[in-house]
Amino acid sequence: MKKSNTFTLSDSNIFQHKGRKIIFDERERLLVRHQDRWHKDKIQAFLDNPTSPTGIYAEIKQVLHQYLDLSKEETYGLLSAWIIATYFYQIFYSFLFLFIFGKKGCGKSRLLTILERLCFNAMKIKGVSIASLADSIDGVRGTFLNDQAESLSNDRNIEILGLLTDSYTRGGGTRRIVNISNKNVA
Amino acid sequence: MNTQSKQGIEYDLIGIPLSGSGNGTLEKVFSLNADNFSKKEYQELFKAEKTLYRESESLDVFKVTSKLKEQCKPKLLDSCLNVLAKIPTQRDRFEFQMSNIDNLINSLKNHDALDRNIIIAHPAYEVNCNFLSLGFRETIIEDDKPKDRNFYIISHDERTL
Repeated sequence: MKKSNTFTLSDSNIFQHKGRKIIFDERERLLVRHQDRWHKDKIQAFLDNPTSPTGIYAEIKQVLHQYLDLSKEETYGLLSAWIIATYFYQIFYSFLFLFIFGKKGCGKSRLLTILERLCFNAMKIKGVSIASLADSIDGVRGTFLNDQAESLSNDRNIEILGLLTDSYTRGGGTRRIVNISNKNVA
Repeated sequence: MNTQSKQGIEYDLIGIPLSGSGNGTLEKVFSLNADNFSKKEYQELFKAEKTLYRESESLDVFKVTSKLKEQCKPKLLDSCLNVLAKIPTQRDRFEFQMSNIDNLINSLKNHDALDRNIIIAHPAYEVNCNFLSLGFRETIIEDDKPKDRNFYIISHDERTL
C-alpha cells in the first residue's frame, strides 16, 4: 500500500471526495456480516493504525499444517497462495478452480471448512440452485466452495456446470436475465 | 490489472451477427470505456478475434470504416479498425451491423462531464485504479427495532480520486 493512500470508514452508500463521487450500488444485495469476517472494532483498529499483513503466507501455511494432513508438502503452499489470491482475484484475468478430491473421510469437507474461514467472503454451498448461486455471487463477490461437487455431473445441474465452466475468466459466467411482466395477462 | 476507468462507464461497441442465425441475434463481442480503452484493448480484441475466427464468413467493412473515421476519437478509431478489418463480409447483415455502430457513436457523444465525476461501485468489493472498497453489513437498533445497514471501508489515493 502506498503511503499516499488513505482509509475511510463510511456508513453512507455515497462517498464524495474532491469533486468525485462513488455510489455503492446496493440494490437488494446482501453483504456479509462484519462479525463473520472482520469485526468492526478490529476494522477500526486497523484504520487507526494501518499495517501490511507481513508473514501472512507463513501464518496461513502453519494453520493448514495444524488442521490438515496432506500427503504433499507443496500442497500447503498452493492452498496458502490460493487463499491469499482470493482477496485479489479482481486483478487477474483468469482465476483457477481448486478441485479437491479423495476417498470418503479423508478430510475434504474439513479443508472446505478451513477455506471458508480464510478465503475472501467465502461461502460453503451444497446443492444450490443456479438462481441463488448467481444472487449470492453478485451479492458478496466472494469465494464459493461447493461441497459434494460430484453432483454437478448430474443432468439436472448441467446449467450450473455450464455457468461454472465459463466463469473462471473476467466477464465470464454471466447469464441472461429476462424481465417477465404480468401486465398484459388476462 | 483491473482496467475499469475513473468514470466506470462502459459502452457496448459492436455486435457481430451470429453465423446462420438470421434472426437478429447479437453476440456481444466486446465492451470498452471511452477514456480508458487502450488498457483494455488487448484482452478485448483477443475476445473479439476469437469470435470472428469462429465464423468463416468475411464482410466488406468499407462503409463502416469510413463512418468511424468521420466520427470517432483517434485512439478508439484505431482499435475499432483492427476489429472491423476482421469482420466477415456478408451483405445482408451489413446494415444491421451499421445500426450498432451508430448507437455506439451516439453513446460516445453523450458522454458528458457529469458522468466523469461519478463512479458506480459494487458494494461488496470494488477495485479501481484510484480506490479500493470493501462493504460489510451490520445490525443497528433504530426505534427499538433491529435494522441492517451497510458500511464501507474505502482506500483511496489522497491526490487523485
